Amino acid sequence: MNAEDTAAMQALDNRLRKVFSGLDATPGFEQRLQARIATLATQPSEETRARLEHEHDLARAAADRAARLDGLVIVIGGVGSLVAVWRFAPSLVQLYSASLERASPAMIGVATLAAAGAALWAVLRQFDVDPRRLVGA
Amino acid sequence: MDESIIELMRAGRPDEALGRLVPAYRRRVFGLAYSILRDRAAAEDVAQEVFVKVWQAFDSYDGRARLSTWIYAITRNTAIGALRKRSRLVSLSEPDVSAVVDAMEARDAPDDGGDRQLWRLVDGLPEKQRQAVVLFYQDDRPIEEIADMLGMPVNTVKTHLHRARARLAGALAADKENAA
Repeated sequence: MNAEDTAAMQALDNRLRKVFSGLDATPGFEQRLQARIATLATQPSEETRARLEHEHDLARAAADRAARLDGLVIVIGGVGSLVAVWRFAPSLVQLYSASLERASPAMIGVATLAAAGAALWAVLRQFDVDPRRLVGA
Repeated sequence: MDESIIELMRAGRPDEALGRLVPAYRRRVFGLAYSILRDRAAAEDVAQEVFVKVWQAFDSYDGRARLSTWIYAITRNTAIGALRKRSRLVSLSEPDVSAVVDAMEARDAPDDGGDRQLWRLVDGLPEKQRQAVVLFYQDDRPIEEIADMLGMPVNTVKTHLHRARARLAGALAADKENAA
Protein backbone atom coordinates (compact mmCIF):
# COMPACT_ATOMS: atom_id res chain seq x y z
CA MET A 1 0.00 0.00 0.00
CA ASN A 2 1.54 3.34 -1.06
CA ALA A 3 1.32 6.69 0.72
CA GLU A 4 -1.60 7.80 -1.44
CA ASP A 5 -3.57 4.68 -0.57
CA THR A 6 -2.75 5.12 3.12
CA ALA A 7 -3.98 8.72 3.02
CA ALA A 8 -7.15 7.63 1.22
CA MET A 9 -7.77 4.96 3.84
CA GLN A 10 -7.21 7.42 6.64
CA ALA A 11 -9.66 9.83 5.04
CA LEU A 12 -12.17 7.00 4.71
CA ASP A 13 -11.68 6.08 8.39
CA ASN A 14 -12.29 9.67 9.43
CA ARG A 15 -15.44 9.93 7.33
CA LEU A 16 -16.75 6.66 8.72
CA ARG A 17 -16.06 7.82 12.28
CA LYS A 18 -17.90 11.06 11.57
CA VAL A 19 -20.89 9.19 10.13
CA PHE A 20 -21.24 6.56 12.85
CA SER A 21 -20.02 8.30 16.01
CA GLY A 22 -23.41 9.98 16.37
CA LEU A 23 -25.22 6.65 16.35
CA ASP A 24 -27.08 6.59 19.65
CA ALA A 25 -30.58 6.36 21.09
CA THR A 26 -32.64 9.55 21.18
CA PRO A 27 -32.57 11.76 24.31
CA GLY A 28 -34.87 10.56 27.07
CA PHE A 29 -34.20 6.90 26.33
CA GLU A 30 -33.53 6.08 29.98
CA GLN A 31 -36.61 7.92 31.24
CA ARG A 32 -38.81 6.08 28.75
CA LEU A 33 -37.27 2.79 29.83
CA GLN A 34 -37.84 3.59 33.53
CA ALA A 35 -41.48 4.45 32.80
CA ARG A 36 -41.92 1.19 30.90
CA ILE A 37 -40.38 -0.82 33.72
CA ALA A 38 -42.45 0.98 36.35
CA THR A 39 -45.58 -0.04 34.41
CA LEU A 40 -44.38 -3.64 34.17
CA ALA A 41 -43.53 -3.74 37.87
CA THR A 42 -47.15 -2.97 38.80
CA GLN A 43 -48.51 -5.69 36.55
CA PRO A 44 -48.71 -9.31 37.71
CA SER A 45 -45.91 -11.49 36.45
CA GLU A 46 -46.45 -13.97 33.63
CA GLU A 47 -46.40 -16.81 36.16
CA THR A 48 -48.99 -15.18 38.42
CA ARG A 49 -51.17 -14.35 35.43
CA ALA A 50 -50.98 -17.96 34.21
CA ARG A 51 -51.86 -19.28 37.69
CA LEU A 52 -54.85 -16.90 37.99
CA GLU A 53 -56.08 -17.90 34.54
CA HIS A 54 -55.75 -21.59 35.46
CA GLU A 55 -57.73 -21.05 38.68
CA HIS A 56 -60.34 -19.12 36.73
CA ASP A 57 -60.64 -22.00 34.23
CA LEU A 58 -61.02 -24.53 37.06
CA ALA A 59 -63.75 -22.44 38.74
CA ARG A 60 -65.59 -22.06 35.42
CA ALA A 61 -65.42 -25.83 34.79
CA ALA A 62 -66.73 -26.53 38.32
CA ALA A 63 -69.64 -24.10 37.77
CA ASP A 64 -70.46 -25.79 34.45
CA ARG A 65 -70.43 -29.21 36.12
CA ALA A 66 -72.70 -27.98 38.94
CA ALA A 67 -75.13 -26.45 36.42
CA ARG A 68 -75.29 -29.72 34.44
CA LEU A 69 -75.89 -31.70 37.66
CA ASP A 70 -78.67 -29.27 38.72
CA GLY A 71 -80.32 -29.66 35.33
CA LEU A 72 -80.16 -33.44 35.61
CA VAL A 73 -81.69 -33.38 39.10
CA ILE A 74 -84.54 -31.13 37.89
CA VAL A 75 -85.26 -33.38 34.92
CA ILE A 76 -85.21 -36.58 37.07
CA GLY A 77 -87.32 -34.91 39.76
CA GLY A 78 -89.82 -33.67 37.18
CA VAL A 79 -90.12 -37.08 35.50
CA GLY A 80 -90.43 -38.75 38.93
CA SER A 81 -93.18 -36.30 39.94
CA LEU A 82 -95.11 -36.90 36.71
CA VAL A 83 -94.84 -40.67 37.17
CA ALA A 84 -95.94 -40.37 40.80
CA VAL A 85 -98.93 -38.18 39.89
CA TRP A 86 -99.85 -40.54 37.04
CA ARG A 87 -99.52 -43.57 39.33
CA PHE A 88 -101.24 -42.20 42.46
CA ALA A 89 -103.69 -39.72 40.91
CA PRO A 90 -106.88 -41.83 41.48
CA SER A 91 -106.13 -42.50 45.16
CA LEU A 92 -105.13 -38.84 45.70
CA VAL A 93 -108.39 -37.62 44.18
CA GLN A 94 -110.24 -40.08 46.35
CA LEU A 95 -108.41 -38.93 49.48
CA TYR A 96 -108.98 -35.26 48.59
CA SER A 97 -112.72 -35.82 48.04
CA ALA A 98 -113.05 -37.75 51.29
CA SER A 99 -111.19 -35.02 53.20
CA LEU A 100 -113.40 -32.31 51.71
CA GLU A 101 -116.50 -34.22 52.72
CA ARG A 102 -115.20 -34.57 56.29
CA ALA A 103 -113.72 -31.09 56.72
CA SER A 104 -115.72 -28.04 57.74
CA PRO A 105 -115.67 -24.88 55.57
CA ALA A 106 -113.54 -23.07 58.19
CA MET A 107 -110.93 -25.80 58.13
CA ILE A 108 -110.77 -25.66 54.32
CA GLY A 109 -110.29 -21.87 54.51
CA VAL A 110 -107.44 -22.21 57.04
CA ALA A 111 -105.75 -24.91 54.99
CA THR A 112 -106.03 -22.79 51.80
CA LEU A 113 -104.55 -19.77 53.57
CA ALA A 114 -101.74 -21.88 55.04
CA ALA A 115 -100.88 -23.28 51.58
CA ALA A 116 -100.94 -19.82 50.02
CA GLY A 117 -98.76 -18.47 52.86
CA ALA A 118 -96.22 -21.26 52.45
CA ALA A 119 -96.05 -20.63 48.69
CA LEU A 120 -95.62 -16.90 49.25
CA TRP A 121 -92.89 -17.57 51.84
CA ALA A 122 -91.01 -19.75 49.37
CA VAL A 123 -91.27 -17.12 46.60
CA LEU A 124 -90.09 -14.30 48.91
CA ARG A 125 -87.13 -16.37 50.16
CA GLN A 126 -86.19 -17.04 46.53
CA PHE A 127 -85.73 -13.27 46.05
CA ASP A 128 -83.78 -12.92 49.33
CA VAL A 129 -86.65 -11.17 51.11
CA ASP A 130 -87.18 -12.12 54.72
CA PRO A 131 -91.00 -12.39 55.15
CA ARG A 132 -90.68 -11.82 58.92
CA ARG A 133 -89.42 -8.30 58.23
CA LEU A 134 -92.51 -7.56 56.10
CA VAL A 135 -94.72 -8.25 59.08
CA GLY A 136 -92.34 -6.49 61.50
CA ALA A 137 -91.42 -9.67 63.40
CA MET B 1 -18.29 -1.90 36.16
CA ASP B 2 -19.83 -5.28 35.25
CA GLU B 3 -18.85 -6.72 38.65
CA SER B 4 -20.72 -4.00 40.55
CA ILE B 5 -23.78 -4.54 38.34
CA ILE B 6 -23.66 -8.29 38.97
CA GLU B 7 -23.33 -7.68 42.72
CA LEU B 8 -26.45 -5.51 42.67
CA MET B 9 -28.30 -8.16 40.66
CA ARG B 10 -27.33 -10.85 43.15
CA ALA B 11 -28.26 -8.62 46.06
CA GLY B 12 -31.82 -8.47 44.70
CA ARG B 13 -31.59 -4.80 43.69
CA PRO B 14 -32.59 -5.01 40.01
CA ASP B 15 -33.59 -1.36 39.63
CA GLU B 16 -30.20 -0.13 40.85
CA ALA B 17 -28.44 -2.70 38.67
CA LEU B 18 -30.39 -1.47 35.67
CA GLY B 19 -29.60 2.13 36.60
CA ARG B 20 -25.90 1.34 36.15
CA LEU B 21 -26.28 -1.05 33.27
CA VAL B 22 -28.20 1.21 30.89
CA PRO B 23 -25.69 4.09 30.68
CA ALA B 24 -22.85 1.55 30.31
CA TYR B 25 -24.50 -0.48 27.56
CA ARG B 26 -26.98 1.86 25.84
CA ARG B 27 -24.73 2.86 22.93
CA ARG B 28 -23.45 -0.67 22.43
CA VAL B 29 -26.90 -2.28 22.51
CA PHE B 30 -28.31 0.44 20.25
CA GLY B 31 -25.34 0.14 17.85
CA LEU B 32 -25.65 -3.64 17.65
CA ALA B 33 -29.41 -3.44 17.09
CA TYR B 34 -28.91 -0.75 14.44
CA SER B 35 -26.20 -2.78 12.66
CA ILE B 36 -28.73 -5.60 12.27
CA LEU B 37 -31.89 -3.59 11.58
CA ARG B 38 -30.54 -0.54 9.66
CA ASP B 39 -33.33 1.58 11.15
CA ARG B 40 -32.90 3.95 14.09
CA ALA B 41 -36.48 3.82 15.37
CA ALA B 42 -36.56 0.02 15.22
CA ALA B 43 -33.12 -0.15 16.87
CA GLU B 44 -34.36 2.05 19.71
CA ASP B 45 -37.43 -0.14 20.22
CA VAL B 46 -35.20 -3.21 20.30
CA ALA B 47 -32.79 -1.54 22.75
CA GLN B 48 -35.71 -0.78 25.08
CA GLU B 49 -36.95 -4.34 24.79
CA VAL B 50 -33.48 -5.70 25.48
CA PHE B 51 -33.13 -3.76 28.73
CA VAL B 52 -36.61 -4.83 29.82
CA LYS B 53 -35.71 -8.47 29.10
CA VAL B 54 -32.43 -8.10 30.99
CA TRP B 55 -34.25 -6.54 33.95
CA GLN B 56 -36.80 -9.36 33.94
CA ALA B 57 -34.11 -12.05 33.63
CA PHE B 58 -31.67 -10.77 36.26
CA ASP B 59 -32.54 -13.79 38.41
CA SER B 60 -31.70 -16.24 35.65
CA TYR B 61 -28.22 -14.81 34.98
CA ASP B 62 -25.94 -17.54 36.31
CA GLY B 63 -22.57 -15.87 35.63
CA ARG B 64 -21.32 -18.64 33.34
CA ALA B 65 -21.03 -16.18 30.44
CA ARG B 66 -19.75 -12.63 30.82
CA LEU B 67 -22.46 -10.07 31.45
CA SER B 68 -21.65 -8.34 28.16
CA THR B 69 -21.85 -11.63 26.21
CA TRP B 70 -25.23 -12.34 27.79
CA ILE B 71 -26.57 -8.88 26.92
CA TYR B 72 -25.24 -9.02 23.35
CA ALA B 73 -26.86 -12.44 22.82
CA ILE B 74 -30.20 -11.04 24.00
CA THR B 75 -29.73 -8.04 21.70
CA ARG B 76 -28.91 -10.14 18.64
CA ASN B 77 -31.88 -12.46 19.22
CA THR B 78 -34.28 -9.58 19.85
CA ALA B 79 -33.07 -7.65 16.79
CA ILE B 80 -33.26 -10.71 14.54
CA GLY B 81 -36.79 -11.38 15.86
CA ALA B 82 -37.77 -7.78 15.10
CA LEU B 83 -36.23 -8.04 11.64
CA ARG B 84 -38.24 -11.18 10.86
CA LYS B 85 -41.41 -9.59 12.18
CA ARG B 86 -40.83 -6.49 10.07
CA SER B 87 -40.11 -8.58 6.97
CA ARG B 88 -43.40 -10.43 7.46
CA LEU B 89 -45.32 -7.18 7.99
CA VAL B 90 -43.76 -5.51 4.98
CA SER B 91 -44.31 -8.52 2.74
CA LEU B 92 -47.93 -8.69 3.82
CA SER B 93 -48.77 -5.01 3.55
CA GLU B 94 -46.42 -3.52 0.97
CA PRO B 95 -46.01 -4.84 -2.54
CA ASP B 96 -42.90 -2.74 -3.14
CA VAL B 97 -40.51 -3.79 -0.37
CA SER B 98 -37.49 -2.02 -1.84
CA ALA B 99 -39.35 1.32 -1.78
CA VAL B 100 -40.00 0.92 1.94
CA VAL B 101 -36.38 0.00 2.65
CA ASP B 102 -35.14 2.94 0.57
CA ALA B 103 -37.43 5.30 2.48
CA MET B 104 -36.07 4.04 5.81
CA GLU B 105 -32.50 4.44 4.64
CA ALA B 106 -33.15 7.97 3.40
CA ARG B 107 -34.70 8.89 6.74
CA ASP B 108 -31.68 7.68 8.72
CA ALA B 109 -28.95 9.00 6.45
CA PRO B 110 -27.19 12.24 7.39
CA ASP B 111 -28.12 15.39 5.45
CA ASP B 112 -24.59 16.08 4.26
CA GLY B 113 -24.26 14.96 0.61
CA GLY B 114 -20.89 13.20 0.96
CA ASP B 115 -21.85 11.40 4.14
CA ARG B 116 -25.14 10.36 2.60
CA GLN B 117 -23.18 8.71 -0.21
CA LEU B 118 -20.95 6.91 2.30
CA TRP B 119 -23.97 5.88 4.35
CA ARG B 120 -25.55 4.41 1.21
CA LEU B 121 -22.33 2.53 0.38
CA VAL B 122 -22.10 1.08 3.91
CA ASP B 123 -25.73 0.11 3.67
CA GLY B 124 -24.99 -1.79 0.49
CA LEU B 125 -22.23 -3.87 2.08
CA PRO B 126 -22.82 -7.57 2.84
CA GLU B 127 -24.51 -7.98 6.22
CA LYS B 128 -21.52 -9.05 8.33
CA GLN B 129 -19.20 -6.45 6.79
CA ARG B 130 -21.78 -3.73 7.44
CA GLN B 131 -22.20 -4.81 11.06
CA ALA B 132 -18.43 -4.81 11.62
CA VAL B 133 -18.10 -1.31 10.10
CA VAL B 134 -20.97 0.19 12.12
CA LEU B 135 -19.74 -1.24 15.43
CA PHE B 136 -16.09 -0.41 14.80
CA TYR B 137 -16.58 3.22 13.79
CA GLN B 138 -19.37 4.01 16.24
CA ASP B 139 -16.90 4.15 19.15
CA ASP B 140 -13.53 3.01 17.77
CA ARG B 141 -14.14 -0.28 19.54
CA PRO B 142 -11.50 -2.97 19.96
CA ILE B 143 -11.97 -5.84 17.52
CA GLU B 144 -12.27 -8.25 20.48
CA GLU B 145 -15.33 -6.41 21.75
CA ILE B 146 -16.94 -6.38 18.29
CA ALA B 147 -16.31 -10.13 18.10
CA ASP B 148 -18.12 -10.52 21.44
CA MET B 149 -20.98 -8.34 20.22
CA LEU B 150 -21.44 -10.24 16.96
CA GLY B 151 -20.72 -13.64 18.48
CA MET B 152 -17.97 -14.46 15.99
CA PRO B 153 -14.20 -15.09 16.13
CA VAL B 154 -11.83 -12.10 16.26
CA ASN B 155 -10.12 -13.03 12.99
CA THR B 156 -13.45 -13.23 11.18
CA VAL B 157 -14.29 -9.71 12.34
CA LYS B 158 -10.88 -8.51 11.16
CA THR B 159 -11.48 -10.07 7.76
CA HIS B 160 -14.96 -8.52 7.44
CA LEU B 161 -13.64 -5.12 8.43
CA HIS B 162 -10.69 -5.33 6.06
CA ARG B 163 -12.90 -6.37 3.13
CA ALA B 164 -15.46 -3.71 3.94
CA ARG B 165 -12.87 -0.94 3.99
CA ALA B 166 -11.36 -2.14 0.72
CA ARG B 167 -14.77 -2.31 -0.90
CA LEU B 168 -15.75 1.16 0.36
CA ALA B 169 -12.47 2.67 -0.77
CA GLY B 170 -12.91 1.09 -4.19
CA ALA B 171 -16.49 2.29 -4.50
CA LEU B 172 -15.55 5.84 -3.46
CA ALA B 173 -12.66 5.90 -5.95
CA ALA B 174 -14.96 4.66 -8.70
CA ASP B 175 -17.54 7.33 -7.85
CA LYS B 176 -14.80 9.97 -7.93
CA GLU B 177 -13.61 8.80 -11.35
CA ASN B 178 -17.15 8.80 -12.70
CA ALA B 179 -17.72 12.30 -11.41
CA ALA B 180 -14.45 13.61 -12.96
